[in-house]
Amino acid sequence: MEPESGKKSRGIKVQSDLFCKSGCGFYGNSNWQGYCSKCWKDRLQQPSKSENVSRSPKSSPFARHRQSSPSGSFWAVFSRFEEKRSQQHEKRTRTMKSLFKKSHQSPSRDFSSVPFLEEMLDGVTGSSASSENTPSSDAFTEYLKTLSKPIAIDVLRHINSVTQKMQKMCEAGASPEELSDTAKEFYQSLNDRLRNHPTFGEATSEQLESMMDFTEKNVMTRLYKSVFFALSAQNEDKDLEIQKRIRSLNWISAAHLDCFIDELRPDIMALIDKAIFSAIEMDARRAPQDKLSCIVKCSKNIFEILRVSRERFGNVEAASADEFLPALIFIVLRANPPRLHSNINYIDKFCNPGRLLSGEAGYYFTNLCCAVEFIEKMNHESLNLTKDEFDRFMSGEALPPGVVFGANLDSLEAPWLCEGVRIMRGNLVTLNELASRDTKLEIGLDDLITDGATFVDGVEKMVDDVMAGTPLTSQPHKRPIALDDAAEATENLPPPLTPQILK
Amino acid sequence: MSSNATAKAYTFKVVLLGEGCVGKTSLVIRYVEDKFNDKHVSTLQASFLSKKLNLNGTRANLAIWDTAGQERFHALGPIYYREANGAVLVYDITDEDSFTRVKNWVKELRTMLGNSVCLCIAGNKIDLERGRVVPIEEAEKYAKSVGAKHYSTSAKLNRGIQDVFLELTQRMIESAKEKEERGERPGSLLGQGGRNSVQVLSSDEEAAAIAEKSGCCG
Ligand SMILES: Nc1nc2c(ncn2[C@@H]2O[C@H](COP(=O)(O)OP(=O)(O)O)[C@@H](O)[C@H]2O)c(=O)[nH]1
Ligand SMILES: [Mg+2]
Repeated sequence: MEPESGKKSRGIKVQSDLFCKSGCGFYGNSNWQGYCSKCWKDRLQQPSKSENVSRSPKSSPFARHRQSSPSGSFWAVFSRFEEKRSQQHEKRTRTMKSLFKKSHQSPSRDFSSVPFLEEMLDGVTGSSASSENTPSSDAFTEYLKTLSKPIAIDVLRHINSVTQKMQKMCEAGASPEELSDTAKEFYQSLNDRLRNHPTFGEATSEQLESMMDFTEKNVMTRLYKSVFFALSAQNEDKDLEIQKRIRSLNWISAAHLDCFIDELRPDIMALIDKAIFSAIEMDARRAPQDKLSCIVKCSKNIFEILRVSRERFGNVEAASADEFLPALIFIVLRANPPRLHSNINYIDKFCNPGRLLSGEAGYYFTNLCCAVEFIEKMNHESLNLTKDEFDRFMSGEALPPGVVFGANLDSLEAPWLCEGVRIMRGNLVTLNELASRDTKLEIGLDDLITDGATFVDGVEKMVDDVMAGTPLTSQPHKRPIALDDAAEATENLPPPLTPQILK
Repeated sequence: MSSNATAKAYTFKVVLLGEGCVGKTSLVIRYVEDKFNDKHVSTLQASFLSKKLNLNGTRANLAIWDTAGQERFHALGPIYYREANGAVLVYDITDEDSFTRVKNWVKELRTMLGNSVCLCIAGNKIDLERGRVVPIEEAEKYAKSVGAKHYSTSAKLNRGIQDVFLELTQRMIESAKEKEERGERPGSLLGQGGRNSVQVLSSDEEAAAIAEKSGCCG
């Protein structure tokens, strides 16, 4: 630290240490390795910086969404990352193959050891699964253990083969459509095999169903990163577009959709939040059926919202599609789920088709597709507004009057308030309720006190009345009259009348 | 449900189409729960309901999809009836417009799904016969001309509803069996999607072969 120059005074020397290392004349900072903020940023932006490369692979596909237009340097970094990843894959695939060979060459075909199964599984799950999805792999291993060995081996063999195949397709840059065809063919052929092959002859239909489910889940969880990446790259523009669209529709309230939801009631608010949560959670799940079950959860919450909302108006009919779809649209508008198109596309392309065709989950999924379509296409007519009104609301020039179903038409009631204000409102409502209960309690208490006093008075009065009506007079004791005692009175009688006393 | 053990059960998707307030929801609740405007409907929701049927030993599961009937949602029809096996088109006999709407739907369905979809038309609310504006002859003639069966129903009085679904199921079963004979898969997206090659791996060699094939063509 000392060397430089003796020319400068001490104070100046200390200051010179603080200057930016690039010599631009501004002060540097140890947080920026001695550079000033501007020079530090400039250095960071140089693509040759090694830290930059090492950081990028960790960035999720989300990172791409944050950038409105992918910059050249980003893609350069990205392709390098892809290269590295495919190399890793190759290495792993090789080890996986060797594992395969080993296991099938073993002459005895001894399936008795469970560790063997695990080893076989580990070999493949390692190929594309990160530590994040170990729970599902564990559950899958547990599930395999419940199957008889020949069945487990057979199912696993199919899983491995299709996973490998699709992984290779991904690496070769196959389109999502090609991948989807492969996946659906696989589901179909596995389904046929499960139902017709003698190995599975004794399995019940429930067992076969769950085998299909586990297979689908395992395969797609393992392939998720590659497959979803291909999809979200394809749908990126649409994802961003709908996100923007929903943002610009933030002024729509339930009432615009003729949806009888009282957004300001705290209990309904809580249910709305739950539904929104499930809608957003969809993006975080990997297997198609897990994403689907988020949609189902969201829909069930919506039915609960509808039930609670309608109850207040004495309407106890079960909600039908006429009520459900507008409510779902409302929730999607409030939730603005991330990567909506990619997720819908993923479910559509990689879910076992039977699930979507006619099941309940398929119904809700279809409604979600309808909701998205509606949101994309809606115009002033769909909301019974004039074109002028609609345009002004869309541009943010004006806000619709705060019409909230069931609430006071107080112009300040706005349902699109931020989260904190919403919670505050909820608390206010609760407080109001508490206050009114408190008043009720006080009134009740007063009543009780008055009642008590009146009661005492009343009783006293009654007692007084009774006392007044029946004055207390003491009467002489009645004494029993002994017949013989009365004799005294007869003693003075003249002799002929004197009674003869017998003793 | 394995085909070698028990007889297979068909699963059919049936969509309910009709203008708002013609009685779609009432009709399906009457069918599934035998109730009308009742406070004790046990379903939490009346938008997706299922019903199991047994027609002379052939088992069928109906998944009945209610659709939103409001004007503003009309354009969403194709998303709802995609891959549907059957459709029940409901109109209100006291409402001319609702019948016109049914005609439009039939056209749309035939264009989008061809003859693979079985259609039934239900003229609902016959308990309000006095207010009828759609002549029954006209409705029946129309239905015949588009290969659909016409029924007069009343959700209120429980008239004709069983027949609608029975007839529809029967036709859907026939249609599914025909398809099977032609080697298509009923009730599967693949069947209609065109690509129908089925792979069943029976040996490791095959598995490896497939894995390799994909490697070079992908
Ligand atoms: N009189 C009569 N009213 C009916 C009949 N079916 C339904 N409704 C009434 O028509 C109204 C609309 O019925 P709904 O099932 O909600 O029709 P949707 O909008 O098509 O689902 C309700 O008030 C029902 O009570 C019927 O067969 N006869
Ligand atoms: Mg309805």
